[in-house]
Amino acid sequence: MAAAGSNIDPITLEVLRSAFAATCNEMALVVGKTAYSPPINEGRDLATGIYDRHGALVSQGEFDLPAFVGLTHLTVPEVIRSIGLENMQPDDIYMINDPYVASTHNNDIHFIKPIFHDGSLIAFTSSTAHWSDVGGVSPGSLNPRARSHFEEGMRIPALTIYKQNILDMDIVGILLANMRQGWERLGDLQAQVAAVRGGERRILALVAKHGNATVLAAMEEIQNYSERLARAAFRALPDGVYYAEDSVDQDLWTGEPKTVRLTLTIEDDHATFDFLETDGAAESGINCTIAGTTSGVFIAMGSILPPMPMNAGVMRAIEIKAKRGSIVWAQPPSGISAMAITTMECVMGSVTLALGQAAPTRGVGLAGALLNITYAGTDERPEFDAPFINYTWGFGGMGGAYDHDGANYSAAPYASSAMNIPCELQERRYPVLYRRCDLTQNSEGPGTFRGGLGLSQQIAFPFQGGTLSNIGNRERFGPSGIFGGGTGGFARLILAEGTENEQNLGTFAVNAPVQRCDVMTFVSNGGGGYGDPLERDPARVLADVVDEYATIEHARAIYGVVIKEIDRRRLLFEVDEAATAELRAAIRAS
Amino acid sequence: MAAIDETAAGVDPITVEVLRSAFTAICNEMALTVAKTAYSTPVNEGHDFATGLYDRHGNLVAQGEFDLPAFVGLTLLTVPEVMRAIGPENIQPEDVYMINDPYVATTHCNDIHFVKPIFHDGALVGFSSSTAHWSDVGGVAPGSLNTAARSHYEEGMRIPGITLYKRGQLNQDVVSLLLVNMRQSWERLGDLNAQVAAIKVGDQRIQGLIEKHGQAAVLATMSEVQDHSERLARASFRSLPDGVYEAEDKVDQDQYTGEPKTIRLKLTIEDDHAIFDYTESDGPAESGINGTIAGTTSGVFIAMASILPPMPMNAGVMRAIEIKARQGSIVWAKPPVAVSVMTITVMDCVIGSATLALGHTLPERAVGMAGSILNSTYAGDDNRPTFDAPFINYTWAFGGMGGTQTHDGPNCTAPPFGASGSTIPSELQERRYPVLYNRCNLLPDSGGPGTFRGGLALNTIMEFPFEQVSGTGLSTLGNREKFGPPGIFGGSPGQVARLSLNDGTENERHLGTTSTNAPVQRGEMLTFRTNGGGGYGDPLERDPQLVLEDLKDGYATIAGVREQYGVVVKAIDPRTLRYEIDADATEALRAARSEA
Repeated sequence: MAAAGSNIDPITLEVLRSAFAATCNEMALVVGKTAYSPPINEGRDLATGIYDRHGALVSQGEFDLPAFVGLTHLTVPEVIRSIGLENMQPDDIYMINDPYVASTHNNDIHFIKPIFHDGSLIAFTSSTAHWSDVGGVSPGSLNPRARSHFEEGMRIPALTIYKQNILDMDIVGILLANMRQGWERLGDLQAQVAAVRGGERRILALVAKHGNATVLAAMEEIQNYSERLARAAFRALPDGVYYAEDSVDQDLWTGEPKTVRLTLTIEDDHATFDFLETDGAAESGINCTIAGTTSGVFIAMGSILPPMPMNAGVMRAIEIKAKRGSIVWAQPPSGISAMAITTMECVMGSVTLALGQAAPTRGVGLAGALLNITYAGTDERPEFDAPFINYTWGFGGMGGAYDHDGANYSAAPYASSAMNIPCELQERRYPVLYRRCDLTQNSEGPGTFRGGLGLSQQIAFPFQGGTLSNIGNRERFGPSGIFGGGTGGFARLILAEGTENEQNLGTFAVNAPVQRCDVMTFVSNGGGGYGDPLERDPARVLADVVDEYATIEHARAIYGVVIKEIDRRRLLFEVDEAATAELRAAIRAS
Repeated sequence: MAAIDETAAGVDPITVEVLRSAFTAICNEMALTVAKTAYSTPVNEGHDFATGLYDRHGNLVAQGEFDLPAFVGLTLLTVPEVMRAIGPENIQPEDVYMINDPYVATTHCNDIHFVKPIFHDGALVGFSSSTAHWSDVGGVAPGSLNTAARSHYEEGMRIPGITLYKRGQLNQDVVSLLLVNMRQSWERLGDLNAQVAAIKVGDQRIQGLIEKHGQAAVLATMSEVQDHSERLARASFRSLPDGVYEAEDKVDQDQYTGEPKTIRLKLTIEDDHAIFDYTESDGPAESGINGTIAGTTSGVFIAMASILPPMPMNAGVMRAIEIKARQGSIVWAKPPVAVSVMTITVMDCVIGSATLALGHTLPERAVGMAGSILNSTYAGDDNRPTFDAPFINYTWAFGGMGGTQTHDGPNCTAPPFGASGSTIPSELQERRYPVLYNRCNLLPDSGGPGTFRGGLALNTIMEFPFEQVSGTGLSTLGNREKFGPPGIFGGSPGQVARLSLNDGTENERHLGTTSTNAPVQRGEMLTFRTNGGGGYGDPLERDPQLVLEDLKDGYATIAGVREQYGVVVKAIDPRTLRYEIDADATEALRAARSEA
């Protein structure tokens, strides 16, 4: 099979590159419109991919969850290793979620379809999505207390779920018997199978129109193109060694923080991400898999470097070093289900800070942690009368940048395509009521350009009790700022706030009981700041006070800006410039 | 395919008996295959397994003689469930089916069944099955027995009826999926291969019987064997006085509420038929003690086998009885309630209530209840240079049996539901796992007092002496720490059980029968004190000579016999075992006790 990349004309190449991305988008749409799990169909916790016949990633969907980029890069090679290219047949579909070789946690289920043309394997399509439950101790399967994957639901090695178009009902039977709400899972499975088949049809149509050799050549050339872009991006950065670290609040079983340490070496057109000095494995479910660590590096590169299509070509320009068995390369049976929000985010944090040092104009403070909340029980209202799992999440503020403030309340980079699951939808499907949702005043990480604000939400359980499990981070260590910027506000999760029953649930509760009429308050992080807060333009501080993003006291204490209230009702405030200059000088001197 | 005649008309009684014995021998051979080749220690040493032969409709025909009695009800329900799940029309030669789904066919997820259809001349003629307790099937606790579980999602893999071998072709994907979710999967693969080998042996032997005796004779005998058991069961019930007998037995606690759970039985004997009505039993527990309908059926069978005259247990017996229960109650679990520790708790109490109720109908075969089994699972990483691997040491200790009308209960013996179970030798455990046994002795005064007392409890101390061991946790299972095994006809309950660490030291702490992954340190010691058996009849009626013998044997103490039996004994020279009964004082004390 000839696949010489050099003789494809640039117009056709661009047409095919766009067609591959469009195909991925279409697969994502199929899953988004037909899957049963709300985190997939509403929250878009999904990804898609097209691979060349060697299993190298060619294209991803534009609206995919960034956290999946490193996974999808490793998934198909692992399936090829496990199944064997020689055993692959048209109309097969493979399934895998094994985190230790190819995924983040057991909830992320991958389906992969080999594509044949004229009897030869020419490509693969894949669909990845986060199933609401895959079994294990906690409804929703995210179990930060897990000491091993045996407590985190089903681990699925690479297997042939459709063998020449015949669904293996025995496998389906075992999977569904061990996952909660099996009917929903079956809907997810069918949605993903439909998507990878849809992708196959589009690829075959491209082959019919442009010819097999051209399509294969384009798949190869697209990777070469990304490699060239990546190498150019590194060449533009000053050679050097940059160090950064970020810490997870705690390993639940020891109470000790876990630190991810990165030494980044930029040498000509190549970068080495060295995590060898990172802490050892955690006893609880926060260990990151090598797929997650790879994703973390990709995401941070995507956020700092100039745009480039993320595919296997980019990997050729970088090297990732890590110790097997450390917290960034989990070995079985370490618990891993809560890794995305904890260790993987700190991998991203360290890479973001290190790359930012190398590229100040593109540097950024860190974003707030997501908080995942799973409220489960049995809905006893007559019209429901069934078990439910309400899995939802909250975002924090983004980091400040070189020339602008961070956005308020936005998905962190690794989940930047994810959306809020609307509270109206949750109230309709589940026995919850949202009482409040507003930005948290003074929660930003201060800086010349400050981080975005975090959110405060109150969720009430007016109908009945249930159990709450959640996963978060940055209760103890907020999102770091950069170049002298401050840290964003801390996350908190509290039950019955302001009453005598107030209880700090923390961001790592597992199956905590809640009673009817309890109210849960969730406060997310502000983003980290960029640059010295004392350099912030007083006009911007004034605007923050007018917008009620900051209080007058906060402006004075943190930014050294003295603001007088003229008429709060009409939003009239004024900067006292002389007092401000004096105060800032005094703060600098102290 | 010729029409199959299943009437025994043409088969002479000698041939029937030859074939019946052959069926049992086949089951024994299947059991031997599993025992000699399985990798799980509880299977190959502890004999926690069963085998079965079934007719072509899925009715149980024969079981092995050394099978674990707890499995009888399961094996009854397993093949019908497999037929329902697979569909009779899809059953093919060389297929092998696998199932462990507790809610339809088993006790807990650890008990894995393999079923093979047997074909002759293209026609389905029967099934062979093998059941065994795998050491681990995943879930929170190493060993998969998780008292603290609130649902089966915390208890390891649940496997619906599936086709493991389709026309001789192994579904490798199913094997990988199962093994990656179980600990020490190389051991599990050994268990799987052992059980598949066993049911193939069963197939070959049935083929041999058909070649020798003809298909018609074999099929007719399968049917006749069941009819025979039905006739025996009906004759037994006919010999009992008609009436309604009530009995109950209690599980110590549902650990999330601390409340006991009561199993209530109303047994009605009416002519040649018996109704075991459990509808008044308590509702479901929040923890992992709920009984499955298969376990409850087993419980009834076990009690029948222990009280009624001998009869081969098979589907024919089921025709003479009716079991009533509420779906969703503690004796008939509905998904997803947790079930992993039901055998030792709720099923044991199903047996207890049925044993007591049947005993009241038949005093000369009645018996006090036996002690609970105490299980412990000690797991972690053995870092000693010659081992350097994770380990799971799952072991157990037995209590005393109940007293009967004519003799005392045996000491430290597996209770009826585990009657074929053996103790895993301490020497073997010490060789394979980082443990050391310090002590193993009978506990004086622990038998439930009675005219014939219950058997004595065991006191075992297991120590954890090694430095090069890490990540260890201790999980325990058991019952009857609060309520001892009941006695009957005035006999008293046996001594309550106790599981504790570091007995007699300043670090002593009560572990209880519901600990999950409790951390233990090097140098700590686990003490198992099991139950004594329940007594039979009034203790004040016990022959003082028997009491004296107990004293000489070290089974009782002078203070104990005075307290329990009203027998006053003087020590002449304990060193040479010389004691003497003070007959007058004994008579006076017993008279005073009777009045009180």
